[in-house]
Amino acid sequence: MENIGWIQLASIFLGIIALIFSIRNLVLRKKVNNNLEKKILESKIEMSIEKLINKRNANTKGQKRRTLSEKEIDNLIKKFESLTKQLEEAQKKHFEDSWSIKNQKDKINYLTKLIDESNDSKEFKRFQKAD
Amino acid sequence: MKDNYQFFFASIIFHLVLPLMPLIFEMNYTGYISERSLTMIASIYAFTIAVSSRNVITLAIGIIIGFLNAGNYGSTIKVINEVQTLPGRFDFLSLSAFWLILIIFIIHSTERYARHVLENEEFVLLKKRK
Repeated sequence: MENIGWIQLASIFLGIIALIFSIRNLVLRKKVNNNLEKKILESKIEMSIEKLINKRNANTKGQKRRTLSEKEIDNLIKKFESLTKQLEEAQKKHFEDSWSIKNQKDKINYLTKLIDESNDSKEFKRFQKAD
Repeated sequence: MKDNYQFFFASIIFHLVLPLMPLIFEMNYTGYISERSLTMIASIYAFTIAVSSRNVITLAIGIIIGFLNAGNYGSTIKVINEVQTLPGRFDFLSLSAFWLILIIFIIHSTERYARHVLENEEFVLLKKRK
């Protein structure tokens, strides 16, 4: 085995590099998650939000979910519009990647969490309670 | 949030722990894990985890590590054949394959934590009915 010691060393070295990058990614992702409101994309996401809310409102048979008013939806969309202006390119890309793999429920959870973390207004609190 | 942790731990079990079962059974039946088994598992582990990762760096480095360990495995077999000895016990801490498996385990755990806990992603095998 002595003659292949360099292979083992190279493997360990590469593994440590990958480990450093993965921990770095985790820390960065955490940081971005603490600033979720900065990660809302422009029109593409806004359209998705609107679709989500419509779908959500349609599913009220069990009376558990309250239908949002037009005004509330407008306010919500406006809120996200204003937040998108703060986005940086890297954050947009990160958000776009993570957003595209989420299903409907996860998107709603994600937005609810976002609202929970980033907003104090009463209207958005009501949206949160309705979830 | 509770669900997120369930998804996270499920993904750890299915993706990271179950593939190591051959080593556990080898230990159970023979009382030790041979060097060549560990090296081979390290290579396969690196390839499969790299491919299932969404991180480009993990993908690239995992594949390289997989190839390096495949070479290492071949060399191990050659040495065993030349010396005509059965693969024996080894000191866990002195073998790179053990450390590589551990490193890959941690790398993928961090990625899964980010995906399932921080970003609310569901684990496909436990996906709830909508």
